Amino acid sequence: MPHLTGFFAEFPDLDKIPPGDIAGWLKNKPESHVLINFFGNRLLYPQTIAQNQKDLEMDFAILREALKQKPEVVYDPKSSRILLPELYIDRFPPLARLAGAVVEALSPDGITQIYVKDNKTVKLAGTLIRPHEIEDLAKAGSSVKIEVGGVAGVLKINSLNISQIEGSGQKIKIADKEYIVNGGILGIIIDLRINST
Amino acid sequence: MNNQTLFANRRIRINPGVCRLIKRYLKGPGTILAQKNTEIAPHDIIGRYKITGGFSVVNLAKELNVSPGDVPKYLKKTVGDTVYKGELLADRKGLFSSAQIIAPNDSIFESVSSTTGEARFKMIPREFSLTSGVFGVVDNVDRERGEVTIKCVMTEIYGVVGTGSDKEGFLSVISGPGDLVSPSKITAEHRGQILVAGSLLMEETIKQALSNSVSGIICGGLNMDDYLAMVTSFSPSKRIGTEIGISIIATEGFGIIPIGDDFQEVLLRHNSRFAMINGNLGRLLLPSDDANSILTCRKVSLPPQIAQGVKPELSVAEIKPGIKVRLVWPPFMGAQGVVGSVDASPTTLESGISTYLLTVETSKRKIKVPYSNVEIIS
Repeated sequence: MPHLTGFFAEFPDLDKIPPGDIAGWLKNKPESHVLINFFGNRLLYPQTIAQNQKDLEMDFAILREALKQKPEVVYDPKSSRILLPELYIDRFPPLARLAGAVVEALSPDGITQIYVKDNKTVKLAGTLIRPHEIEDLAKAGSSVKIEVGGVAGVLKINSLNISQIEGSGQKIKIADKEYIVNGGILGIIIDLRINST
Repeated sequence: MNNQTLFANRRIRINPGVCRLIKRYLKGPGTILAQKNTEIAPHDIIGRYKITGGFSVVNLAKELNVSPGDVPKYLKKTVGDTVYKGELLADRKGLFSSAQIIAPNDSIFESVSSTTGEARFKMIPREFSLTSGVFGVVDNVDRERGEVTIKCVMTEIYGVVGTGSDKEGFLSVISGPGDLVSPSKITAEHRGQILVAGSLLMEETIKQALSNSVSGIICGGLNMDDYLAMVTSFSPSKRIGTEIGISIIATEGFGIIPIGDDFQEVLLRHNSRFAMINGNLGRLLLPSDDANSILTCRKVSLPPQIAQGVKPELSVAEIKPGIKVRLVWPPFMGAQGVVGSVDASPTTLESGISTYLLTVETSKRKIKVPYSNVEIIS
């Protein structure tokens, strides 16, 4: 019989995720049984939503592990595209935090276009840049010079950064390498994390 | 007034006054006395069976504090004797210490070892009567399998998770719906009973119930790690029936969650009455104590697919003022009430999620809750 499910029902093997892996994403780790029972109730009642930030943080932790388990739900490595359905955007606000969580979970290399999808349309929301040579950049120093739209700056190695830049054909320079990418409602994400997976 | 049509899952938790087939089994070799198509009452004996209880071993040398070779000197019974529970088996009187060994049960004194000092007793088979436990009509008798199928009227209760196969016993409400039951509250007097035990069943309490041969436990919540230890897989589709010697049903979910008002009311009404529990189905059966229910059984014809009872699936229903709901997410998880109103516009929660809120009026308070965090139960 049809019934309401929600986001977590898309992951049938969610129960196989070790709770310790979920806890690894949490800054304020709850007691183990609290986290496990939270997780169990999300499996029992996948249609429910987080009412406060504490619940949302745990949901984001489950989301990251769920996506690591089943990346194809949002990520197509062949076309280098991340597609965020509206259901996710509503369930895991704001969009920038959701995109950050997806990137943290999947860590796609190179340039990845990020799209958002509602009932009718699919829109480009931004671009993720994760330099292939991130290990070399990390060896060269603890920060990297960047240039976004002609404005210079410095980003720390092992950081994940979002610049809210709209419009297509944006020129981004990371160290010596130049990228031409598209912005959008999300902007441009620069992933300089090392050992990210 | 909200123009948006909002939906929630609808869960059937209680099926009152339904006619179902139940099976009663002989627990050992014996005879079925029930006849097909006859009417029976709860105290009617429908079969008799014997249970041979196996063996018990007592180390007499250790208990008497003597060497194994000296044990025969102190015996008050000889090998081959029938001994009855409480009878004196061996007696040693000394200047500084003495010891008396009493027979632990009715049995036959089979042997005593001169090398280990261990005495072995074969328990005497005991005869038991199988009572029907219900008002109903005998639908079928399988003498070979020692099985009687009875059509009877009952109330079905469905929890959300559980474990364990068919068990039976008298229902005993040992705590309030929100209480935490400590292991010490479960004693030998609960042997064979189905206990209603508050908001959370802890591992130690489960162990205590097992060691006291409790048939089953109904509680509001379980710790998920305890649950997984018992069932091996969370997913119902991957689970086969599990059996740990007790049937357990959590009525609400994981963690400390009081048993729902709807269940508690029915369970209190059936306190001290015969019930049947199947944790794997998450189902408790409470047979009707009304002798007239037999008339209903006579009238009802049961299609095979519903005769044994099937766990009702979730369905979707529209949320409207006046509808009864239960909260399925903290805070106040498990609370039940009536929808007083539905907000006309969405509210942004502290989490940042924008959604429509309902005002749920419980017996104690009015609670604003996201519509997706309730289940319809009416």
